[in-house]
Amino acid sequence: MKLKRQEDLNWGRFGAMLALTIAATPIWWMQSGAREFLLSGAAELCWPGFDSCAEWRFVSLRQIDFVLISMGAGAIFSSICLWLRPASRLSFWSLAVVFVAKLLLSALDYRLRGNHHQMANLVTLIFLILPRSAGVPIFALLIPSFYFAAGLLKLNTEWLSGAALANRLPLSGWLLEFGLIGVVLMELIGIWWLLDRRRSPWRFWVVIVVLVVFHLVSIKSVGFFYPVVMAALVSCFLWQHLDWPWPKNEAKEAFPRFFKSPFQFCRSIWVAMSWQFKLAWLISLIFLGIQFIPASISPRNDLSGEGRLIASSMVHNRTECRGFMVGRWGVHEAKIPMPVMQLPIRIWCDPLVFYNYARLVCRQKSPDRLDWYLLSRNSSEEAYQLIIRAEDFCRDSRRFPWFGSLPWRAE
Amino acid sequence: MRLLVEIVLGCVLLFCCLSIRWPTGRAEPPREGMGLVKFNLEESSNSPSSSARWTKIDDKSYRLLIRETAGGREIAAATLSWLEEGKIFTSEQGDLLIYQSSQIWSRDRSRWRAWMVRDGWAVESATWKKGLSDGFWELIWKKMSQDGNSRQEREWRNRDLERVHGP
Repeated sequence: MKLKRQEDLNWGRFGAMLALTIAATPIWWMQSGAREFLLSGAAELCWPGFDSCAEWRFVSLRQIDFVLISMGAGAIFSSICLWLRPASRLSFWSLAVVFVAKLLLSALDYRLRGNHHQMANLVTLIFLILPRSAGVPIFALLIPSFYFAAGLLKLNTEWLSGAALANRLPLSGWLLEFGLIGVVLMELIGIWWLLDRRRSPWRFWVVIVVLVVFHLVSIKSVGFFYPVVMAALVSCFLWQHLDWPWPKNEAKEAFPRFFKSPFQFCRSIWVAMSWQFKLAWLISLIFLGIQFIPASISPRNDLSGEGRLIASSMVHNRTECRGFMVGRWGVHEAKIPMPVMQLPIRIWCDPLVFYNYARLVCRQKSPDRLDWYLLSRNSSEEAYQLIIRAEDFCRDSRRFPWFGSLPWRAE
Repeated sequence: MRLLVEIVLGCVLLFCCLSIRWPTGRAEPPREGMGLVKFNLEESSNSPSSSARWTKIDDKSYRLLIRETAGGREIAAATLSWLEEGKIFTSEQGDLLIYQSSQIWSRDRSRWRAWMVRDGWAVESATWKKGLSDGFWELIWKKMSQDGNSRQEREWRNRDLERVHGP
């Protein structure tokens, strides 16, 4: 009974951390300029499928402030409730309400996206809809999987050469490069030591220290919010001793069969697993699998953004791009300058940004014909590549897709 | 045993990272890059005659007049407005080269031909030279380094901004 109460308390503490990430969200959004771009009349940047997002803007700054402050205050209230009374209905519903409010606000503008939000949202959703018995093994696998997926995506020249982070960190030269390789090693191998707190405490604490240093250093490059989210998620391993979700005894007995027949070994382990463990593996493998979708759509998804709407965008590439738009009115033709927007680094060359602007030009300037092109490159590359060739765009009925390749993708 | 497996895995990963990194990687990203893109915008329905000419209206706009050579009658006109600061160079044949920031646009009398980016460089001057079969742009590029020294480079490019051998 006492153990169950302690487990409830630990579960509530983790929920309180999740609520705190929601409390920090309005501050992060305000830093990103949300107060200005959520205002009616500001140039909108709609998510695909929600082209009318401009109609859902706030009419005054006071209204925006009220909503954001209410969300933050509600999240702090929820956090306190979860910490003190984890099993109460009020704790659950207060978190559910602020979580839904965050999702609704995020839907208003594409600039409010971010892979840190995706990770926090996924974990919060699981926390809300599944019982603790299922949530604990899921988080044990899923949270290290976030790092593991990020590590896989870092196996490229852009990251390993330091080009992605040049001039943003206090390190440089070979020290920086070995540091970056160290991050990859930590994310692919070391991160699983989070599951070793009982078996090998030194491994667990080493990886915790490395994570703390990594996230503290990353603040200079990515801002405060990402480290706050990851600290909240990793705190799951501090409140409780999490272990690999598989049946230990069966695995030990079946292990000699592993080399003879790996398939049989996996099958016997799978059969012996509880539904909670199976769900944990399924969710984590699906999450990891989704990260490969962009690469299957286009080898240059890092520039085209194809598939990134559903996968996380975890590589901090420094993309450079040039947009080029020509409008024609009768015999008159003019180059239309691209807008200057405050954009997060991961979306500043996203074709969706230019798509939204082209739609705005079609609506406001009504050209007879509008052509636009987008050239992009990673900062470590020499040549720009033509990514988008959208001709006679205003008459084009095709819309920006959530899945699959872009219809205006230049070959 | 477990530590050994982790060390082996770590060494394999380290090797992978190093092989991705070298020999192609660069610690410092190049600040000078070049891209070449051809745009085939809509062809003019009226094939321009040899008397097509860009005429300057003001610093930011040019007007293209196309005249029928036989009757001397004006059959089409287009105005190109340049909304930002830039330099515009024209040829007698009606070719136009627009330079802004580190970008160049090239168009002839009927369509946009090419767009080029050359980071870190600025076009100092552009002159259209007649060649044996057609012509080409002679470009004088200027690069300012951080220590205040400047470097000049001369090169020749055709209408599609492809590099050609000069005279």
